[in-house]
Amino acid sequence: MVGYFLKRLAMLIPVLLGISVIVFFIMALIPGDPAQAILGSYATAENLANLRADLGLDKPVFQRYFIWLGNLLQGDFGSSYTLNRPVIDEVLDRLGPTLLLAGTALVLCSIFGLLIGVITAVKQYGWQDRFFTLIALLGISTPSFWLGLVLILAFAVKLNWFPVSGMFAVYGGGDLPDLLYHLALPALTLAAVATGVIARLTRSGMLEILRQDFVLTARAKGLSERKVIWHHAFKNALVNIVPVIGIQAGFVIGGAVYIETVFQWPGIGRMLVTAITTRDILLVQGGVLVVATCYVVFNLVADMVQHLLDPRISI
Amino acid sequence: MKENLSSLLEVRNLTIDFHTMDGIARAINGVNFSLFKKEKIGIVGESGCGKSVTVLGIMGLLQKPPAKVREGQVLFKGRDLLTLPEREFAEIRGSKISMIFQNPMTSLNPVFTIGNQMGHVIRIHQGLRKKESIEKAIELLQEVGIPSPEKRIDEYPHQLSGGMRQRVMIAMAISCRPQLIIADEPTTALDVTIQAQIIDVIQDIIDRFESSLILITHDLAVVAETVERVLVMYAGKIVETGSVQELFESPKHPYTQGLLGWITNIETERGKLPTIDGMVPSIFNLPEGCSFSNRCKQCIPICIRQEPPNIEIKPGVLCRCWLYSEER
Repeated sequence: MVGYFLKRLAMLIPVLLGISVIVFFIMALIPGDPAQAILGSYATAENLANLRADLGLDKPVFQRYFIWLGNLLQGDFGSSYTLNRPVIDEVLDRLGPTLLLAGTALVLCSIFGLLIGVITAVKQYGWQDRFFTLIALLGISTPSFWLGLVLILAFAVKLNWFPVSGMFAVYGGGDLPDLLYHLALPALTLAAVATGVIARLTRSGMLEILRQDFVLTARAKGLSERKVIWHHAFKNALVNIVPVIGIQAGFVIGGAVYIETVFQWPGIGRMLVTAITTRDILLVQGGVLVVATCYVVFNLVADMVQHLLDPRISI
Repeated sequence: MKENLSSLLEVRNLTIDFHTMDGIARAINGVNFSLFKKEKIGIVGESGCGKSVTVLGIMGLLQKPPAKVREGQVLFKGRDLLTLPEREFAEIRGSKISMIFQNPMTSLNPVFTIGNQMGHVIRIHQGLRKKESIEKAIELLQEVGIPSPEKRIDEYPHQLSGGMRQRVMIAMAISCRPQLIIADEPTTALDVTIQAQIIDVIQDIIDRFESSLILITHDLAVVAETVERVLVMYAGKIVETGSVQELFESPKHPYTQGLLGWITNIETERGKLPTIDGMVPSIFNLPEGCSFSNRCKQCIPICIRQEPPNIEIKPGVLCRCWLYSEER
């Protein structure tokens, strides 16, 4: 067991290296000159060349990658020129709100998704099945930024139940109830798609498991139907659902980019959007790298949980 | 026939349909039989004749829908199981009546240890604590001949062989000393060498615990050495009932005769194995008369028109065939 976990941790190294290559070269290859972006369109050619030399942009791209990677390994992500502060500080400041938002969304979509999935499977073809399957389908097919706007319009503007945007009230906020009050709408919006995906997967997984012989054995043992479903069938279904929840965790973090923009949430997603429009390359690279690392770590955790659930899996 | 009083289980006119997209499948059509205390009976018949549906119906384990019990009663010690509330029925399952299934490879839950799965059934029916239930489980594993049970108890099903898993299933089935054990083709999925061992274990357990047994099987050799009485099923009906000896020495129903045909054949001559020509009628569209009439070599006109009655040829020997009727 411990050996398996160590092996999985070791496998993170090449994955993260691969991510660093992709992150770096995508940003290096897209058109647009950071020096031009910093100095503006009236800069002289001489000034541009000097700035490029200062930023190290005059060196070959491969050399730049290794310099960047070398600095990364020492914890130096470079400095954001638009914000005038180290990238790592900015990214870590922004990571907290994003993880809070994504984590809440993940908890919501796991609870609702699993619950809906089990109910629809147990009541296959019943009204509960039809109703919740429709809800799940709507969740999957509604673009989250649009859903966010609709929710803002309905619950914030018209009904005035929740705030329109932000993480804390401008005056007098800052405590936990205030945070939850601001968190509700963006977290729900972010959870919608993942809830649908998890619900549909849980439904098909449960239907498959409920047909298995060992479920019949469990019933023949005289277990109550609730025990048969939640104890015997659900744990088996979970083995295959947990990795998908891991993948959804990644999508939720990625989806945070839209949601943070719509809800003015001070997270890493909104930071990235701003950084991309201002060609703040180091900030984008640092931000994307951290988001991608979160994605990989979530999947790793999901795999480990799956391993704990199912004694048959090993690599 | 003995008095009703001493019968443990009495199945009366059990009729089960499956409501499917293709129509209504008449899986079980008026099955009647009784089982006495400590009696061992076998149900034989080819695949799809309704053996498993019959016992699953008795256990109340059919998925409803699509299954539907149209009529009939299952009297267990005088109480009709089919009208019991689910809660009370669940208390009987696994404690008074327990079941051993066909495929030990898939009948155990892959994500729980053996001890955990056995512990469940012991705890819910006997109200023991966790530690006591595990001790009891180890004892039971010893009874069914599993070596070093205290080690096996913490293992998962995939770490055990098929024969071992079937022993675990048997241990689980006997954990509450049931009065009736239903074994649904317990050896079909096992190697031939293991089959005999498993049958021995079942027989030994039944004798020691003084339980009754319903054994479903294709294997006539197993029937001959394990049970006392045999029910032969065909297309959802019991076509012949009789003691093992009676059945093997003088099979009455043409279907039973066909079924037993190959045994005598092997002893006498080499060559092509005898078969019963034709196909089992579709249960979606059963014929009006005898279900076996389209394959029967001794078919007479009335067989096609009218369903044969259940005729008592001699005490304890029943046969559903016009050949033995005086009314034909």
